Amino acid sequence: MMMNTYTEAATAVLNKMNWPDKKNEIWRRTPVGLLDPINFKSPVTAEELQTPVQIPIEEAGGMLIYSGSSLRVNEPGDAEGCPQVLSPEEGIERYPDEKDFFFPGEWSDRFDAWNSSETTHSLFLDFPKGKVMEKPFILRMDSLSRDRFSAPRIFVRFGDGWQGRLIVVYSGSAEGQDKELVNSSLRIWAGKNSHVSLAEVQTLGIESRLVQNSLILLNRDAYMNHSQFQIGASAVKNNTVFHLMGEGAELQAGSVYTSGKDQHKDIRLEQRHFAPQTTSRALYKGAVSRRGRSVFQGMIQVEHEAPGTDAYLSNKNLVLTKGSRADAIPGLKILVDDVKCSHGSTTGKLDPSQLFYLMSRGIPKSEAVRILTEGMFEELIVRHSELPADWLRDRIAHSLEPGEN
Amino acid sequence: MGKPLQKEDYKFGFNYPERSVFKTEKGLNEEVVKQISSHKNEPEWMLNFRLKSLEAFRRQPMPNWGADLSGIDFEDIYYYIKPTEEMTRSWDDVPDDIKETFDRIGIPEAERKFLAGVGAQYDSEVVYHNLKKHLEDQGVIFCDPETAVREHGDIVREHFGTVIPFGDNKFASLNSAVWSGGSFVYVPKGVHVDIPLQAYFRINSKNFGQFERTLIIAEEGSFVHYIEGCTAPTFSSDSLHSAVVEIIAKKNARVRYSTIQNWSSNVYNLVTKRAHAHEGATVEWVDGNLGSKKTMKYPSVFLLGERAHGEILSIAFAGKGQEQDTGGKVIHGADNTTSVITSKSISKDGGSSTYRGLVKTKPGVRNIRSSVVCDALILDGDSTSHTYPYMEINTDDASIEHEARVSRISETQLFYLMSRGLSEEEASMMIVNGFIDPLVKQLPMEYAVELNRLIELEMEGSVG
Repeated sequence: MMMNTYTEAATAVLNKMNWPDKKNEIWRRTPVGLLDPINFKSPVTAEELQTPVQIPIEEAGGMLIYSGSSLRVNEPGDAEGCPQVLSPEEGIERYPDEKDFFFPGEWSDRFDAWNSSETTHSLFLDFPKGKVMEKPFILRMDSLSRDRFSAPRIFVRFGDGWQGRLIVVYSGSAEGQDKELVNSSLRIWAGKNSHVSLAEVQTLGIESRLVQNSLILLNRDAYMNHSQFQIGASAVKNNTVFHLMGEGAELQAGSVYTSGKDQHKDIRLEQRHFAPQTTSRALYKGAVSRRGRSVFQGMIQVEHEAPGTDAYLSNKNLVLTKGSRADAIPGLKILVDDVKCSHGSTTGKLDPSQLFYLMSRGIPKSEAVRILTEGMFEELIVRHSELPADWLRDRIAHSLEPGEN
Repeated sequence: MGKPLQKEDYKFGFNYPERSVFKTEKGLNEEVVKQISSHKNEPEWMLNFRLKSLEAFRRQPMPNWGADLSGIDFEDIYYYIKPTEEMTRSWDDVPDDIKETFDRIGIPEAERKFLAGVGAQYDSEVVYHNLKKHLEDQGVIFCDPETAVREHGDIVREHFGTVIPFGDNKFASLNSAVWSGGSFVYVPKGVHVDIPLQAYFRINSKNFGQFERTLIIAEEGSFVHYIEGCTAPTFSSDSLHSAVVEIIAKKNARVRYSTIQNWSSNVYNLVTKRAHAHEGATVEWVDGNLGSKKTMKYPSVFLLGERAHGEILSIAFAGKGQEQDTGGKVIHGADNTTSVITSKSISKDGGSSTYRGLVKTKPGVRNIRSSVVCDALILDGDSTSHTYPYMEINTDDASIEHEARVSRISETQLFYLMSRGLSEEEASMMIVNGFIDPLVKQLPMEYAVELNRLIELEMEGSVG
């Protein structure tokens, strides 16, 4: 009942809004045409599904695979700390105080409203409070079919004191030419004293398009180690917003984004501090090659209520070949005086002396480039021991490799 | 510590009764533009330039980013006020009240000491101008742009509006339509102007828009340092200052442009400043922004020739009710070009300071190096600081760095200084002085003293 009302409200907003265009600062550098839903039909059915790239994680504490339209493939498992899988309505019934967070009733842009209006699959993962989950939990979202769109809407609630690791995977077909559009919305609530490692791995097919809106809220003394690996898809519009709402909350955020041949990665991050003595660290690293383009927009925002904030944002970009381009726009918006906030950004090429050194040891240039690029991303890869590091390194290298151009 | 500065010793909140000999009607239309042009006996090409600019101004929307400019009423402004009949070359001939205004700002004293030249602009017109003879002998031209249009028309016509076209942005168009006064500097090939050329701009009338226009041309291998200072008294209604500054540094030339602005707190200060640096040339902007109601100013350098270098050093002090939206832009358009942007801002009593900058490389240029550092100091809980650096890197052979920091005065530093017997105010002042030191060091001595005194005044009463 409530969900219907919400969907209706979203549809009404959707009908009033225009698709974002270049007049909007946040979208000014995004190739909105590539994300135009007019090119896509809705939604994918079970019969149309193909086989996705499998992320080789051997020891999962539980796994949930969502494919296509409201298709739950398996049960999540029953290990200690595993989530209960609820519908969004059930989730809100259980946690009515958090209704405004999960169903805010306002939408940042038309893609956001479209996601609420035409959600293709939604669920509420309720991780139990006070439990420690030993092995990572995997949420795999396969959305594979030509010319289709999907609009997953995922709610995650980590109960107070929950400890463990969650991996969210957006999979596409290996070398597939599937031109699909994924418009995803993720809302994550980390309870008091929770300790969460959250990795998002995106390896959609090379013709896929991804719009991603994520809001992650940290309550008092919550700790989150969050990383994104944006490797696949031809066009990505990512918007990840962290709200540090509880005193003492701590965030460590990271991202690896690669733009290989003609790919466009538009990555946006906000570290918003709403409570005193909160800490955030963000390290976002990107590499572009073969006419690939990346746009990084970052913002540390400290509200009046957040004295004692300690925030840092670092963005590093590697431009590997001629014709590729990296834009960096890190920002600070500081509304209170008792803070320590800074950001740093660098954009450059590989160090020629390092390249020379490796080549003088008999390593071919392409291999030397690969080794040095891997080296740049290594500190982010090792933050998540639950991920298959070699597999990730290969995917990253593959997305940037020289090829024909 | 020396004798504490008294606010009465140094303030710009005075004005003399306006004694203009001519002013246009309020508001902006073709008639006003024609009147300005006719009063200046301009050639037709300049009148046409003005009229085209007016069209462009009408066409363009107000900028919707940055400071809120909705308080500007273009119809409630006098666009041209002529304060005195003639420009004079002798200080003795300047009317007493204008002279005293400048006296209180301190120019004559500075000039008596060693200055090369002072062009002083009072409302729309340059009223006093002097240039040492030995510079004139070397072919250096330093005059108001009206004289330049009359006497050096060819040079002006060749360069005027080439760096900032008449339709560049709404306020550049406005300036292009109604500009009056400013400076024209021409430095011939190989000439080093060893002492700074200086100009002062002052708004004395209320509801007035000041639109000075400055054009600096440094021929191959030359050097010049140009300094301007700006002030305005406080009126109950707002004033508008919208200048355009164009610099052309030809092959291996070096131009340094320093500004210390201290507009009163009801001036909208919306300025377009841009330089072209050709092969091997260096352009440096040193920009101090105090006062004003809202400032939007981003001095920029287009590095057009190989090995060109751009440097922007800016400081902003945002006090009560003030918004300082400043920064710098560098476009790397050629190989082996380098740039450095250093920005320092201080926000106090609810003031808001913003760094907005751009470093951009053209596709395929090689060996680009750029470094941007922004430091912001927030002195109380009501003040804010924002940083928006844009880096658009279109080449695989660049090394671009940006760093920004926001903090408040360190408790440890304060404690240390106070434990040595300084009052909290003195200690804060000392830390702020240290914070802006890199900028002050770049200024000639009397400007450094002025900047320090201004900061000291702004800091007065900031503690307790």
